[in-house]
Amino acid sequence: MSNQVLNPLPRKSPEELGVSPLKISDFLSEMQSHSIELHSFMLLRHGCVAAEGWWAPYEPQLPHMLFSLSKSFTSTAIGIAVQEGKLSVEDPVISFFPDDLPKEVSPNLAAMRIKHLLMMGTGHAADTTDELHSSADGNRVRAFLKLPVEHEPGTFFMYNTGATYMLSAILQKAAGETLLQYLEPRLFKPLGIMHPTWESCPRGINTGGYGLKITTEDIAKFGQLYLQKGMWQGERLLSPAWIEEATSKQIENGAGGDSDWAHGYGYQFWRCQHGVYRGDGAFGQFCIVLEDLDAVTAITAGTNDLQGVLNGVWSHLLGAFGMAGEPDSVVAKASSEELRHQLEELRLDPPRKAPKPEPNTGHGTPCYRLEENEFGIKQLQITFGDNVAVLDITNEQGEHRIELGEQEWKPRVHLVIWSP
Amino acid sequence: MSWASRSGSLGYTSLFGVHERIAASFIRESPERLVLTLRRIETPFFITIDIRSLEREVELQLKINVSFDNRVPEPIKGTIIA
Repeated sequence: MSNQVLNPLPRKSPEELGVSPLKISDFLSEMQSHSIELHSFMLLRHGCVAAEGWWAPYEPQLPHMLFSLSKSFTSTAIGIAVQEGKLSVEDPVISFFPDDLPKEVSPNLAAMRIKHLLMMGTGHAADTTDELHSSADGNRVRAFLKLPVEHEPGTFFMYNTGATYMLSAILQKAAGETLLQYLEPRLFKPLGIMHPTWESCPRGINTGGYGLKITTEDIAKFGQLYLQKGMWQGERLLSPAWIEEATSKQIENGAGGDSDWAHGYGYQFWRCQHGVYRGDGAFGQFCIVLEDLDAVTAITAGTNDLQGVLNGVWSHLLGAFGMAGEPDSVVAKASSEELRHQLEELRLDPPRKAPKPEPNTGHGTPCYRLEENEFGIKQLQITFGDNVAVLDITNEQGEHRIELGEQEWKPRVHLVIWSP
Repeated sequence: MSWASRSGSLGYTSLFGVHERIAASFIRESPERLVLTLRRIETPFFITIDIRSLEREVELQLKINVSFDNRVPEPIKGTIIA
């Protein structure tokens, strides 16, 4: 896989873009002080990258699992399909799957439209994901359609990854190709998103609600496309009307307040506090579009504290924006050099102890046979070398070898240097 | 067994079901205790394997940094064979 980024976003200094380096620095410091593990961070303004960083050993060219942030891409595919006349959000869900319907179609199931899948308002009282995954024959569409629909569609919000799977299945029916294939020429290639991958169900339907892997810069480009109302380098990829519809509140999901999961839901996008919208995924994957500030933040992470990440954005980044080139208190007073240094030094160190033990003290080359376990690990052997060890694991899939550094990551990685 | 015959090349592994990049480290906490850290750097996850050995027996405690259920896996027991 090439390490080159196709059509990289332009870079400018924070000051040129009217962004305070101090506020960015404060955001990064807050994440650290709250023990929120970020893996990458990009801040865009006016279509340019103002700041970016990867916590070593994470790297810019590595794709990252998006989890539910994938949903916003699925929504985009539906929007493009609507533009192309392949389907309408008013189409009944059951109309796409005549061979998979239950014997009796309930009134609520009959009333379920594509828009209800998009807004997480299918009418189900609980998330359907587990039922889909446990379907004995692997036919997740049939598993979805046979579930009771307790509420009238459009009246009851229930976050429902099975609904997004159905969007993927509908898109595949309507377009005659998978979601990933469909988006390749229409979204990924124009944006310069290289080698995207998407998990599939046993029947070859992309999972839709999760399973997409792309880089952080790819996430940032996606947000920028939304900020630009669907225009990309002079080409219209998505209609502004769709973007307006998809990112507006389509259904109530709570009473608002301090929770960013209670300000309304669009078409696979969350409405946030401060008039912001976002796509997000488990463990801290974010594409945050700050429309009024002409800014986008893309984040990957490994944390359960998603609200903590958003609170950091609200507390620090919202106040980071002034007018480009404006030399006042809002815009940079802290040195860009300090921010650059901070971004260069981002890292997640391996466990360490001082003093480092003498080489190989007390450890031979043990090989262990393990009792039956949930990970399917059968055998494990560790061989020590000079500041390295080699782990050989045998599991049900075969033998695997991993090299480990002693109190260092192996392989060593190049630090990512932020440059304006 | 040669390096080439194993399922992974350095920096990559298929241990977790997909071919992916990994960064790994270890620390010798004591003569009886070794802690391995495997970072799946294309994902949010890292796995800690705490290995405690006592003569011919071993106990492994695996932990994953984040999960949907926050469940701590049961320790795995084993015996030395070489």
